[in-house]
Amino acid sequence: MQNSELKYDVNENPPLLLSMALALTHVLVIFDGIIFIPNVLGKTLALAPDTLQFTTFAIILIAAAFTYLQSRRQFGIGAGFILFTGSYSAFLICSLDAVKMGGFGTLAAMTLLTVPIIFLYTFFIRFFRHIITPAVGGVVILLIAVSMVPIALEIWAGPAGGSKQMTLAKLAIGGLTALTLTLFMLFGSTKLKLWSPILSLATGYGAAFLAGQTHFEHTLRAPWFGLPPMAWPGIEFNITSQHLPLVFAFAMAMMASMIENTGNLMLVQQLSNRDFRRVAYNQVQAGLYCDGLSKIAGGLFGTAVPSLYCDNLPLIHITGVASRRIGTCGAGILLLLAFMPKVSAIILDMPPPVMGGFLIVIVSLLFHAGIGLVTMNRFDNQHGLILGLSLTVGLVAESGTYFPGVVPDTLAPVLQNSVAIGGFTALFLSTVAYLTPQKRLQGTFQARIDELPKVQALLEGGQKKLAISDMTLSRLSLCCEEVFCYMVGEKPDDEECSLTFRISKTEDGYFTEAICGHHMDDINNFAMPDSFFHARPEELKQLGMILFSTYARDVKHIEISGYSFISFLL
Amino acid sequence: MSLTMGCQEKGNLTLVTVTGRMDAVTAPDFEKTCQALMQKGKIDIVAELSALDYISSAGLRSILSAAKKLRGKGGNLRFCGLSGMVKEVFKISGFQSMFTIVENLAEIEG
Repeated sequence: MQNSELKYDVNENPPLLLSMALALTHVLVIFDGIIFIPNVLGKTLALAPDTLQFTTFAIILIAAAFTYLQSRRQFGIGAGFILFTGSYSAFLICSLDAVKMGGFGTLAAMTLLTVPIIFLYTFFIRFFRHIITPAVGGVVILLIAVSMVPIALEIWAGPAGGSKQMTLAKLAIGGLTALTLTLFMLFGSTKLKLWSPILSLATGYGAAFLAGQTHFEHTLRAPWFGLPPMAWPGIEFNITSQHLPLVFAFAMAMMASMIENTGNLMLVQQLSNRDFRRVAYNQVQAGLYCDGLSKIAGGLFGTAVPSLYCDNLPLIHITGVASRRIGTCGAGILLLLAFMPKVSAIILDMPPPVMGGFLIVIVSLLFHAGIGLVTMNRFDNQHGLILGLSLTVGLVAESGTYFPGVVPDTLAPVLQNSVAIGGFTALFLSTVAYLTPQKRLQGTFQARIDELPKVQALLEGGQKKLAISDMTLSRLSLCCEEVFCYMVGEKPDDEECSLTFRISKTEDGYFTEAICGHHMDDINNFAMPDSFFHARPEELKQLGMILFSTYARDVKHIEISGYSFISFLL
Repeated sequence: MSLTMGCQEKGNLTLVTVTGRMDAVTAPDFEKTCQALMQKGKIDIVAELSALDYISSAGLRSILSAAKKLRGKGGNLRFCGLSGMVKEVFKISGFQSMFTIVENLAEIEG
């Protein structure tokens, strides 16, 4: 997929001023969400001001730290993209229950007890590669978009009961913001698109000012600089069987978070690379490890459980800037916000219709991105059905009209969360489809050329089992040989490796997957030399890939945890 | 299945009948055979491929290497009897336009 409209891709650096301006735009979109859970906990449970200030400060600090780490790739932690961290709504109900039960110490304990789920899933993610696919990630993103529509509309319209004039004013403010952004995106020059989010927010602010809808109560009250009282709640170590339902609820929310974050990490790769060809699972892993660490930090600080956001990701598409410098600058802005309550308050005082109108456009771009992920790879009947069912289940959960009163409270974080239940449905159905017994050939061979006859013997031996015609067997044999030789050729000389081949018959043809335990260059990255007669030996190696690419379709090459997986259809 | 080669003199030509599979394991044998013929002064070689069931890129590289050496000595490497998958591979790789390929030996002898 070509992102030719990207002005700066993830590895390029725009000027600092531009980076700061764009980073501020990202922060404006997600800042409300970062402090969402502490705010709700504070209002619902009438927390002591000291506790609320500390938990709010802590979550902004964690957001700053892990947004920075996500923008880097140090020691395999952090995906290296623009990915903001903040409190996550799937943990709202269980966080409320935890704080009611035993205060923030209990919330901390539950977080720390259940965060290993994230690390386990991430470590073994290569075993889920046929289940956690970009299509599943795409369904998750689509469901996020669906769940955001009512939220955006609620922010836009505000509380019910206002006068008709006020309602019309809100409609006009949000509509003008959305229209400005849409027009800039559709018809604006590259430069205009770059500044379109800020311009549209400024337009909205202007309209709100004219309509008398601006207010600065938070801004006027808040001090310029401030440190909160160090009211650390501690960690509850006395966990008994009475905490079990809470542990289960947190575990469900952790799984919802890990599914959603997997989708986010796939999406950000698609948006951020000019020449996006495949999802790099090692970057998904690095991003998930970083997210796991942010959750540990949330537990240790006794604040809300953080997670990754995708609400701001469409800004990458709108502005054409995917540079990780934006993430770094955004982290710096968040750090400033942690220590400057007045600046945070300016953001909180943004007229809600402006944010609502802006978010509606963001949501539409999330739909676009989700569909892009879903349709990235082959879309046969089985996949179509799995994805359709998952989307339907998610929409049913979103509607909230499915047998109310039947849902057990402990399952609420999942069943009332359209993203979680839709994601789980996609996972479950993908797993069932993968585990369904099917006719398959499998063999493991040493990574040496003299092992090639054994690969041929495996294919000839399985010709009858898989009902392979003679012509298809020849082509399959050729494709397997070229992949085998490619993998052997890329192997480090001093290493002993083995290669595994799995061939199965699907409705689309013969699906072959070759697996080996070392990194290699992308198999799709080859070029035909001008003349074979005058080609160098390394150029002649391309002959194999030319033949392979002619016969094989839907070729995929992914790397996870040091393993390379090359698959194709014939 | 392995690769076997039979050599036969046809006037100034040397006919090399190739049988079996030319893959990464067996392909070097073709080049060795051509090399041995070159050392005996036989530089006009026709490879008869009607009994060749399979060829991979390794086989193509072996053919190319032999052809380069032959042309360097003023000789030639031509092909006849291509069929099925072997013909397909020659076409995909562009070897069909790089070499003289005929239906049967009679066309070359004629």
